[in-house]
Formats: sequence, structure tokens, C-alpha cells
Amino acid sequence: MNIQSLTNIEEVILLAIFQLGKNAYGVTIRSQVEEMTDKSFSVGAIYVPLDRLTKRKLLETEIGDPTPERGGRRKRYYKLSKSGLAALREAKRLHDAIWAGIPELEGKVSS
Amino acid sequence: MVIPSSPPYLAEWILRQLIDAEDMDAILGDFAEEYSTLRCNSSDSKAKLSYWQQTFRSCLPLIGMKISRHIERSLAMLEKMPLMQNKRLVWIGLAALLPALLLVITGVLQSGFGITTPNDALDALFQRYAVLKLIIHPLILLGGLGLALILNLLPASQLHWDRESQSLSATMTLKNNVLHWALVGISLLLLGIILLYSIVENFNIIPR
Repeated sequence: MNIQSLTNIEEVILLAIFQLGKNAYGVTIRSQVEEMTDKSFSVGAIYVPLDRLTKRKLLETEIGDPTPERGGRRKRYYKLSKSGLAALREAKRLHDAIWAGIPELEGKVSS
Repeated sequence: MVIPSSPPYLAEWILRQLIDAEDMDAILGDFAEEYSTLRCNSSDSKAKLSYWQQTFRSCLPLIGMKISRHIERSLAMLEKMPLMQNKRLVWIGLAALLPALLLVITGVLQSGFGITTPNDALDALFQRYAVLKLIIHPLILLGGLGLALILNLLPASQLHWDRESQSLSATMTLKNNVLHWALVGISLLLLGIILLYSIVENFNIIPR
């Protein structure tokens, strides 16, 4: 399997979807991403990387039932594909590898 | 308790213009759900204000997404189109219209923009190798353009005649051969420019 590289936001979104499990759709993903990054994202902005990741086949989508609080509109649920999971694992392996040699950096920024 | 959502009409209309039909339910549904939740937890006016804020903040990303999708679709459509019927005819056509293209470009640069270098270089080349002057001979120029036009028009179109008892009917079929049509277009454009130039150069309006 060809493992694809990820940008920061793509990595965060994949991780958020992984954490949310079966309840990963626009609203919950955005809220999870905001919590993880401590940054604010607009409702529309979150769909740009979601769209990109779906096109790259790192995400799979499923349409849910319409709900009254959504004005009768359906949710689009996202879940990681096999390639998405592999890309996320590779990102973690890369992070672990590059940070392994420099543990002393933590807490020493304002010296 | 779920309060039925009725978000600001104008903001929702703006969003509808920016969202692709396939994403309409997912994205507008998210907007509505956030609006509905905020309405339950705070006030109607706060929910409306937040909806507008989210709409404004979402405009640029949604426009970007729409444009990129449009480009992808156009490229996919172009990929499906047969670019040309006959590769050799495209190359011959391109070679045939090159003298006219060269002359028109140098002429336009000189008379339109005051850039004389290409024309001077061409003059110097013609003085050094007189035989090259042949390429700007009207017969070569117009003949080349005509050749390029015919060679690319024929494979990209088809004319079918039907003779009925009292009448003759013709049907013309235009094929999706982008490169042939591009060369037909360039040939016609160059012919038009040369024709216009010859009219302006040779006919003067004399005031009475």
C-alpha cells in the first residue's frame, strides 16, 4: 500500500475522526479539531481538508438519516479508510522518530 | 427539546450559492445544527449573529472549494475528449501557419506596443539570407493559413449530403477534437488580422 504524507491539519482531522469513531460528522469533527488545536475553524473551512482527504481516499463517507435540528438535512459521516489509518500510523511513527532524540526541548523555551 | 431551526434567510441563500449540490445537506445541515444548539443554549439573536459570522468566515474556503471542484471537473471532461483525430495533420497545420504567426506577432508588437526588436531581428535575418524572404511571400503566408485551416477543419467536421426528391439537404457534424479546432481558430484569427491590416494599409477614407 502506498502510504501518503499528510499536512498538519490533515493529520489533526484524521486523528479527530479516529477518536470520534462512529459519531464523526461535520459538527463533531470541527468541535474535536478546535479542542485539539485550540484554534477556531469556520463550519465551511473544515470541509476543505475533509473534501481533500476524501478525494485522496484516506476517508470514507456514509450518509445518515435526516434530523429535525438540522432542518431535515442528512449528516455525512466520515471514517478512516485503510489508507487513512496507514497514513496516520506513518505520521505518528515519523513524529516519534524525529522527537526521540531531543527530549530536553520540553519546558526550555523561555530560558 | 428540539426547536425547529429557521436560520437567517439571506445568509442561507448566500451559502446555497457557494455550496455544491452534493455537499448541500452536509454543510447546510451543520450550519442549521449549530444554529439550533445555540438557540437552545442562549438567545435567538445570538444564534442569528453566530450564523452570519460563520457564513462570512466560510465564504472564502467554500469559494475555493467550489473553484477547485470546477477545475477538476473541467480537466476530467477535457481528458475524456479526443484531442485530435490525426496527429500528423496537426503538426503540418502548425508548420503551415508559422510564417503568418511570426509576421503577425512581430507586426503587432511593433505597431501596437512600439517593440521593434523582433521586427528588426527578422529584417536583419532576411538581409543576411535573402532566400528566407520567401516565407513572407503572400502566397506562402495565405497559402499556409489556408492549408492549416483545411487540414484541421476536415478531420474535425463532417459534411453529409442528402438528396431527396425535390431538395438537397446538408448536415454538418462537429467533432470534439480540441487541437484541430484550436488550429482552425488560430488560422481564422491570423487571416482576420492580415485582412484587416491590408484594408487599413491600402484604403484611405478621403474627406469630401
